[in-house]
Amino acid sequence: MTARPAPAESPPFSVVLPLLFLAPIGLVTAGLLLLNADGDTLVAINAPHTVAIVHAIALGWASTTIMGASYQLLQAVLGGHIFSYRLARLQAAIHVVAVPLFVWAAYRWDTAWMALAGTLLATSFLLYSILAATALARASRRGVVHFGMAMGLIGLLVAFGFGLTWVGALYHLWFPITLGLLSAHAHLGLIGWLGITILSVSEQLVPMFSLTSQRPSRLPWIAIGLTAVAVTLFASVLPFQPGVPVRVLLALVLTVGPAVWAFGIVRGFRRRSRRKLDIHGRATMAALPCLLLAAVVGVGAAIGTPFTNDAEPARWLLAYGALLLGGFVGATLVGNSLKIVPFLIWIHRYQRLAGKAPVPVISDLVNVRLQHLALGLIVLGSYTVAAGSLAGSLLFIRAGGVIFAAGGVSLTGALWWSLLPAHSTRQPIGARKATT
Amino acid sequence: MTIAAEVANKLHSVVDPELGIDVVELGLVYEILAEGGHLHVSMTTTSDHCPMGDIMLAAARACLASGWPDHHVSVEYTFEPRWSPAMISELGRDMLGLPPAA
Repeated sequence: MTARPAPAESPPFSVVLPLLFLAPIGLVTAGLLLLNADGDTLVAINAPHTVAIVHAIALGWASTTIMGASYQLLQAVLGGHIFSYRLARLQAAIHVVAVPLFVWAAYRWDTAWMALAGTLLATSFLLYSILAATALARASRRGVVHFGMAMGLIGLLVAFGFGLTWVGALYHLWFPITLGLLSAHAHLGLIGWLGITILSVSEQLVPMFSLTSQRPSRLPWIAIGLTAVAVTLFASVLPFQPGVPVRVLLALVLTVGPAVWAFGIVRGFRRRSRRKLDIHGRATMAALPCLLLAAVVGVGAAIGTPFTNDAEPARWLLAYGALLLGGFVGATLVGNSLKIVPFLIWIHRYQRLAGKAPVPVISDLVNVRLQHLALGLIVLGSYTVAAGSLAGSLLFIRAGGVIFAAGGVSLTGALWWSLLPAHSTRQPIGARKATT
Repeated sequence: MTIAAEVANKLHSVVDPELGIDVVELGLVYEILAEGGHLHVSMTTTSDHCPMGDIMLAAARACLASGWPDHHVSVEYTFEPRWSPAMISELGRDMLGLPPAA
């Protein structure tokens, strides 16, 4: 008989849930800002409103969700204690103030306010990194999830350090911010931080929720390692403005790790015991085509502007961003948020009663239709923005913004729904059996 | 009915809140020992590092303590053998949409 330590306790409600509940505001904001898309949107990827939209999603929605989810995961799953809940609450408070301030300042291209918001963001990321790094160092369970989260944390620090130097560039004209530098920063943030963290967390959550037999496999290690190496290479070379062949080669290299990850996920799904997919499984399945399309469009963007107007070079980059950030990252985060929030609320309300009295199950705390609506709208929004960008249609891009905003509202509704009293008092099968 | 069978029956009321299936039907209960005034249960989780694990353990302990207040109850984890879906009962398989075991 082999005894392993029991899983650790979840951090307090107040550390995790505020971040998860507030994060979709970033998505709604991005959707509404897309309504203001104009001709500049298709011409320059660094147009102020595009910078504001990308950061509303990347910092406002995605990073905020990942921070909340990782406080939970680091402690409850990896057994790494968050050493100060007070510091975690402070980090969350600073973050939720800094993000809207940064988005507003970027939209107005007010470099003074951008610098102030950037300083607050730096404080937030620094505090988060200290808390996450110490929890990772103390984690009792090491493995691919631990490795991936550590890689993601490095990605966050590098991406943010990279971006922070631009305060000097914008304010004191230290160096010109070229398309290559922008691309390197965006990939460090999108793939180095968000992507790698999502790949690694999925290695824990997908088999767990789909009841897949966990066999030791090297695939997740290879996928995350290759992705980390590729994004490092990409971000090191792109600032030097390489020619098309090198850009295409780097883009292809960048697709290998995620492709290996996707292969492993699909293989696991085929072995799953939970035949009817829950929201997490559906979200993961919805994210995979977005990832595939993002890879194809990303290679197109590396080539330049194939089949589109040369005067509008941002088209392919925008489509790539919409598919990767809105579609792949977005769908995955919807799945994770909609599992973690009801789980935490169940723990808060019913854990102490479990085994002593009949209690609702987690599916009694959720509104499945609202969950699917949120997922569907967010994926549809990303396809619409991507199609609008490729076609050069501002109408489609704005329509995608409306769909994104509606998706964000639906997601908020689906999350808050779990706070309502359980809508079913049915006894699960086991409880019925025990009382008969 | 033996006390071990009664314990197993009682454990049907400990339900995995994520799956809505009890720990017995999921095949998570490996061993039930009843000797004198002692009840001992060995159980497992469906996945490594399952965050529901400690909740299920505490729920099983509370469930048995209320059913046998005069007994010393111990519930502990074991991870050998590793749980697999083959351990799910026919009823559990039906609930998960799995075909009957061969």
